[in-house]
Amino acid sequence: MQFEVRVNDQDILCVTGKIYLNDIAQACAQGSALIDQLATVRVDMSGVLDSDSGCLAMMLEWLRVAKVQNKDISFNKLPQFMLDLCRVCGLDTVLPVDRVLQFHN
Amino acid sequence: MRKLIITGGEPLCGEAWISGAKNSVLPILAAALLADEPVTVGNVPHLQDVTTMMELLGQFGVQLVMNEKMHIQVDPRTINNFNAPYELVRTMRASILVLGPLLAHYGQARVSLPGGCAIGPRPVDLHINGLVAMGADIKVEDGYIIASSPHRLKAADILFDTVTVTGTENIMMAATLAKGTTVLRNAAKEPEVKDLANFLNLLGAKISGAGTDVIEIEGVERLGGGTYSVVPDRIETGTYLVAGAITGGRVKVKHTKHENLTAVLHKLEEAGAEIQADNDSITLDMRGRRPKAVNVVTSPFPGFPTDMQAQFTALNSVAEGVGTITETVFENRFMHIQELHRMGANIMVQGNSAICQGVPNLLAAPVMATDLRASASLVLAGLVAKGKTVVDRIYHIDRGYECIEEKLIQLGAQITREIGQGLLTIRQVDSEGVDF
Repeated sequence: MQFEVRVNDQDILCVTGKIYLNDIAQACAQGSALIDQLATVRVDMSGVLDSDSGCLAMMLEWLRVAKVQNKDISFNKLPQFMLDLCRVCGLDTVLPVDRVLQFHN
Repeated sequence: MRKLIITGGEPLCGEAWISGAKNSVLPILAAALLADEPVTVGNVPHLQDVTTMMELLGQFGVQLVMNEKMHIQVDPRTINNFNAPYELVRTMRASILVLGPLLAHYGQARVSLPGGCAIGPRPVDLHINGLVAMGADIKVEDGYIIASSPHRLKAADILFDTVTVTGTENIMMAATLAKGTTVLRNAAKEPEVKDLANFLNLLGAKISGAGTDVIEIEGVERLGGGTYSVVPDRIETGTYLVAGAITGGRVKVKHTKHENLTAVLHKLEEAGAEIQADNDSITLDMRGRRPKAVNVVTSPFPGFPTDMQAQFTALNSVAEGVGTITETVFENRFMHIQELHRMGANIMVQGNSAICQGVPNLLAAPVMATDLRASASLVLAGLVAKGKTVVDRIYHIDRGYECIEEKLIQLGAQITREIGQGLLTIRQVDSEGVDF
């Protein structure tokens, strides 16, 4: 496994390493379980070294999980290649990158 | 409705990079259906038609992954249905290119008939006849081509009545997995056909003669995977060169191949341009001169491409003298001329010829794009017209030109894209085209 999904001591969900399509099911499950434990979901993507559009699918899944649980969510510190990937896939306006999407009542 | 707003009248001067060829990447993505392993396609342009082809493959259950550089990995092993619905096919005629691969690899396909086309009839009979000759059982029902082949397709000797690029590509793809050696006569010689053959050969196909009018395909049992980079877009290349010529400017286009554009470069030289070409770039310099009118007759490759006809009509509209454009490939490809008239062009259509008396200046006007290349001609006219030209319905242009306003800005044009209520001014991009 080349990636890690964990919550740090500041309650930030951190994604690190290289994460590709074949890793996404596992990463989604790990992240979703961790989201259950958080009041507000702040995701630090700065540790992602390489990825593909599968990672965007993971982010969309976490967005969905946060919405179901009425939790605010944001994806922060995306590396430039991830920002480019978001733009290429037309998701830069959909995913809450460096902004908070509020779902809580 | 999205629009391009162009403030014209100044010579262009700058450099732009050329994207991968739309007409190459679409068949190559379809050809990935023939493989038994994942394939990765690079130099893919970010175009609506590419998105549509990805959507179509995804609809079959094929797994697609891309990275930020638009390298697309296609894994066909997850395919679970063989239906190309009308909703997708009607938006992109190239969808018909999945017919041959699906039939050859999986023995079945259900593909919607593409329907009408703005620039003239493009029948799919030649595709169907070729596949039937290879043993396929094909019927047309409820607007769908329903094809099946319980056994492996068999080789055939196929003579195309007319030169057809997608027909050649479809049958060539099907023949790669057929039993025996298929011969295609009067085949299309376009560089995109050759590029597709190169891609298939990389996967293990045995194709020879691509780029000539006789192609031989020795069928193989299976195709493997691989990584391939598509050829640069020769029509996009030609369009930006005309942008330089029409404005009397100097432009350099990079990451392109001059050998695929010989007829166009020859006509640009005839129009007064100085052309310098090396391995992967072409420089055009008009030295501030007004272009001279040229006569053009469209024909299949290596002749003058029909996809460059509209751009040369725009060029002739401001050139010195009288130039005639004769369209021999499509019937209804002068729809841009009415719009050019609104900008002050003096063009008379007689049959399949457009006779153009050049005028010193075009005048800016609101104009409407009608098809992909017609749209390009209106943008070119806007670059040379004095004032602000507004080109409406630019979804046509987005089907075939990646980042057109960014690239024209690199060449020194003043161009903005209007989205809905507001104006979006596009940021400058770097020379590698990384930031879009």
